Amino acid sequence: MDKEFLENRFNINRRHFLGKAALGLGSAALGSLLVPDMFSGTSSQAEKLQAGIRHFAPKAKRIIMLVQNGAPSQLESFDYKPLLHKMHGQDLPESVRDGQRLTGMTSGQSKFPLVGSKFAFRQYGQSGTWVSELFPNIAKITDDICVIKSMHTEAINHDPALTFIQTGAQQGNRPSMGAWMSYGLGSENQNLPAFCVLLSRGKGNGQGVYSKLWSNGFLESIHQGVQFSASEDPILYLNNPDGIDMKNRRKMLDHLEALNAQGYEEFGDPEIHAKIKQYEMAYRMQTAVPEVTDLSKEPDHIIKMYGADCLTPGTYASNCLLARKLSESGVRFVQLYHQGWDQHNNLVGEMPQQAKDVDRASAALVQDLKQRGLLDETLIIWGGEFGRTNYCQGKLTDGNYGRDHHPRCYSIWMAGGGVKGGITHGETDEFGYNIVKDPVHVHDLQATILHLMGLDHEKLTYKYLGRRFRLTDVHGHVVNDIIA
Amino acid sequence: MRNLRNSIATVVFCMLALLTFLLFFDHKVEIPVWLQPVGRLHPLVLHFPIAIVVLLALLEVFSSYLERASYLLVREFMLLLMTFSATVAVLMGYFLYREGYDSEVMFWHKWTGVFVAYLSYVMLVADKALLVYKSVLFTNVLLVIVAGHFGASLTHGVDFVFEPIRQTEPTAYRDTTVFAAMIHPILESKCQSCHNAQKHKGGLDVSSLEALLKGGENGPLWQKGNIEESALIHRAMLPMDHKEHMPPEGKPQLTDSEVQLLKDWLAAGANTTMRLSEVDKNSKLMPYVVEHLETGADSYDFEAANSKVIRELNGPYRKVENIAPNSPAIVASIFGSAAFDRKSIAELSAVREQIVQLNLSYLPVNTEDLKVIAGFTNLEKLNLNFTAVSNEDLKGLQKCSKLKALSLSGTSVDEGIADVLDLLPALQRIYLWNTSLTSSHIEALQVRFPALQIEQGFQPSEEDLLPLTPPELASGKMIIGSDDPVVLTHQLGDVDIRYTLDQSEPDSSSQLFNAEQPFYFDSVVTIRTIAYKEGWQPSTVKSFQLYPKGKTPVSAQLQTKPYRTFSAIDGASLIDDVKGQQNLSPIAWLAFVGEPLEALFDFGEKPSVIHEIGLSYAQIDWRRFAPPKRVKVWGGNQPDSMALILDQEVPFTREMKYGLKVEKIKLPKTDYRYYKLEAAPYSALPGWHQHAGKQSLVVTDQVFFY
Repeated sequence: MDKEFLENRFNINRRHFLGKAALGLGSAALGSLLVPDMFSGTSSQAEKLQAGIRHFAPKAKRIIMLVQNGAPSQLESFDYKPLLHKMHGQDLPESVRDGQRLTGMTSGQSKFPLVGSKFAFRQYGQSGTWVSELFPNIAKITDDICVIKSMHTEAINHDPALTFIQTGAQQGNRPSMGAWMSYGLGSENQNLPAFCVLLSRGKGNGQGVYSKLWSNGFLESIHQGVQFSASEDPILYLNNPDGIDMKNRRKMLDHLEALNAQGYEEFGDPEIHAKIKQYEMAYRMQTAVPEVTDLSKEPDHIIKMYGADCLTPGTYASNCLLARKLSESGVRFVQLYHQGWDQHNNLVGEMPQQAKDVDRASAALVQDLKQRGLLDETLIIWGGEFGRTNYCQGKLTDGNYGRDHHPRCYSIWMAGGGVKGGITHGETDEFGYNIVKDPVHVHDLQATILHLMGLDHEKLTYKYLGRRFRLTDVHGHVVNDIIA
Repeated sequence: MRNLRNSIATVVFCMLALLTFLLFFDHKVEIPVWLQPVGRLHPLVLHFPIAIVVLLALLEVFSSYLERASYLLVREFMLLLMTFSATVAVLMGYFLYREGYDSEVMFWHKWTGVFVAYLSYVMLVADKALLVYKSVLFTNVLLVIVAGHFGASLTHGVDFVFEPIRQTEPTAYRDTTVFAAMIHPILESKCQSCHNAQKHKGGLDVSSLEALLKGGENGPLWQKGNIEESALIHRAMLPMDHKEHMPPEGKPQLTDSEVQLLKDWLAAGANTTMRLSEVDKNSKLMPYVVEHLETGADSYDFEAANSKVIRELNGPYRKVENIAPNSPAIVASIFGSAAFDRKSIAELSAVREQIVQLNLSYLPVNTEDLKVIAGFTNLEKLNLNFTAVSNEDLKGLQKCSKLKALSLSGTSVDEGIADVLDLLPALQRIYLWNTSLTSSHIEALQVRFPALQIEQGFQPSEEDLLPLTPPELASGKMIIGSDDPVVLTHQLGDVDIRYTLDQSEPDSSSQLFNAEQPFYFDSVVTIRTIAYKEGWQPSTVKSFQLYPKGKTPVSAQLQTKPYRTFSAIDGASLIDDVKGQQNLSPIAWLAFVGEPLEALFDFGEKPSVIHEIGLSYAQIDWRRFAPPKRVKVWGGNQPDSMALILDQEVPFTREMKYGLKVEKIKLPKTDYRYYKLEAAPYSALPGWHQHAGKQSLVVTDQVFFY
């Protein structure tokens, strides 16, 4: 016990120590011995940049990130490559592949037959953005979106790639982007979590999503993403159990808080404070969440906009509608995951289904925010974790093909929140294999997203295990060209 | 004492003579370097005379309370100490001054300090003449305070005392020079404490551009075209322990990004007059400038609100924050219609001048509230989506002459909004989606206000028909008692739900479901349903397999341990009337491998007649989920004495590779209180199976009794 007590004393953070040590210079001096950088200038500077303080004026106040989990093919969505039709079935030239490592799924293949999109492309809008026929509704909003064709990443498998784009590292012990946002900006509406996660699943070949993707990592646990479920209770265990009313709950929480405060006095563990805050937020969420998740008051043509399945909980369309409602209610970061985009084979069969799941609702979300005057302050990001190969995985048949993972280039789009509409950024070569213009690394995207929210990715840091961590690690450049 | 007094008086006299000599010849005399450390102890020593002279004054005030002899003794002792320490301090101060302080403040500090020393000597000499002594003493106290203040201004800066309560943060706008916005602040925070107008060490003063350009003793701070050799960069880049490293060890250092910015600025020509708005787009400085301009956002000419007021306005249901650091403009939002309190809008009047964006969507905002909002004279963006406001209410906004964007989606405004728009000449965008305004109204508005951007939003097209979602079971339950009505529903209103019960494909001619006449079952049935609605495409067909509930035991206990993958729930899940789903969510399912499923069912005090038992299981060949090999049933009125009433093999259907099935087994009619069921998995799957020879799993969700 004594040992634990002592260990906790060493865990005390600087602010807490100072609070307790304010009695005398002597204890402050002792504090400086225990916490070496207590009086150094750098640390107080870091303090200045902490929670709730923007570095500069934000373009966007909130983010909705539509993660197409499994990696939709850029070659059947936004990156039109007519050359692949001309060279259909021919081998990918070694000079283009240029030593790119392959996944275990195609590394045994002796031939890499190029394959053109089975789905027709056309240019849409005043911007003339290329979109495939799989996304007829997104095609209608091209003048509001910015397509980035030159995204690239470092990972070649789903889990590390998703973890990389969410947390800035492939290993999965870091805070997710939403948690950083919550840490850096605090919440707008304190009755709802600053970071919410909604999951849905298409019929295509799927890849798992794990709670580490919305983890708070080493940040305080209040910054963790809160997962909404498709059941009757969107947030599990939020409602009062039978026989407990709000008054009782309040009383219970007050007593619990007193106990926790006592625990804090004794052990000084900052997580106890986080716990108290979470209970309080959950209490307020009991009234705020039903208000937000109630879709019954949505006007009739909202349903025509998002599609009828927006009324079926757990569908992508319903999550888009819910995301809009959450965002409208001040949730900083809403993250959707739609699974089923991993078309290693049967791309021709699966991709239209997947596209049908998301096309209408994704476009509706943009339009819906626009008609409420919220698009200029809400950033929407649509995309997967990497791209897909320009050659066929497995046997190329007449009617069907599949594509393997490809980290060197892929396409995403962004809309609203200070991003220029109606532009295409970056370019890939004629083979759709390498980037030839304006590459955007995952860290660049993260830096840009933080920038749009008024945060400097180099200054938003958290000191843990003796070093200052950033979402962008030691990399990342803001992509100024896409910022309005 | 007498001797001590005489010797101290002599020493002090000599020191004053030296001081006078030094003052007289001032810069003509060279101070040896070894005296510098002595001079630097000035800030330490000077506190002694200050304290003692004040004590002497106090002693004088309270002298009547003291015994004469001790008063004289104490005074004598303190006077000696004061005179000596004052003279030493002033002499040391002079040495320090000669290290390179030269300013107006220094002038006053020097001379007030010198006079403190002289007057101290006068006090020592004239202490017998009480009147002279007293007047000199009190003059000296005043002088010490003045000298001390100038001294403090030298070390801490002129504004030191009131700095914390003064707002001095400069705001960078387009018209500011790059130097003033980005370069000078670095020098101010990292260099100016030693290189200012008062205290220009090394002859350098960075407090103003003019002084800075003069450079220091070693020449200018930078040389164009030679960045690394420029003193500004060179000194900062030297190793920390190098004598010439700047800022000196122990002082706040330049950060890497600051050094980089200084370098980039020098590389860009060290232009001191270029404005932020004039920086070339491709210049290395551009990223910094972008960042800086962001900081300023739009410029406003009103004062910032008190940060305490802003802090107090924040609460769980109200967010009030500055639009950007250093910007006086405020963004405010109020959330939660259930918890809404009128006062929360009225209280915003505390920052009425600063609010530029206000979000009140979904709140029951009324006429009174809009009168309050009308007082927010700098409001630029107002969100009133889905509030109760009307055209009339909005006319009050006329006073918000800077309003640029107004969101009125989902409100009751109609074509009369034109009169409101007349009153808002600055308005650039208006959002009128989901109001009673039709496309022709909008067109008319657009003609009348050609410059205004009117957002009408999504209008469903008549041609673009969307498919409906299929109907659902109202209860969501697939196990249904003979008295429970089966009700089909649809999330949209006015939907025709048609269905068949004979496995045939339902269509527009099939039976129409009527909620007033739900149907009932007593055997397994498959309902196939489809939804129709005007203006929509019909839904896909959806099938529900329903199971009759039968007789429910009071309790069920597992006697063997389920396999870990599905062991979330105990035996109660076998009789909870929740049918497991195709996706095999572990919540409803129990699995057994190796060991058989053994469960004891208790029908309580009043058992009824049982003639059939049904075991529901999942069969998935590739996961080795198979029907049980053998089912045994025991019955009895005591759990420890039961008779075997059934022992039967279960057929393994080769055709079904994936699916859920209920195996119904006839029992002899009995009315025992207890029944025990044993269902054993295969220890080796049959030869035709893809996992032939391996153990199978019995995966079950429900046991029925009929």
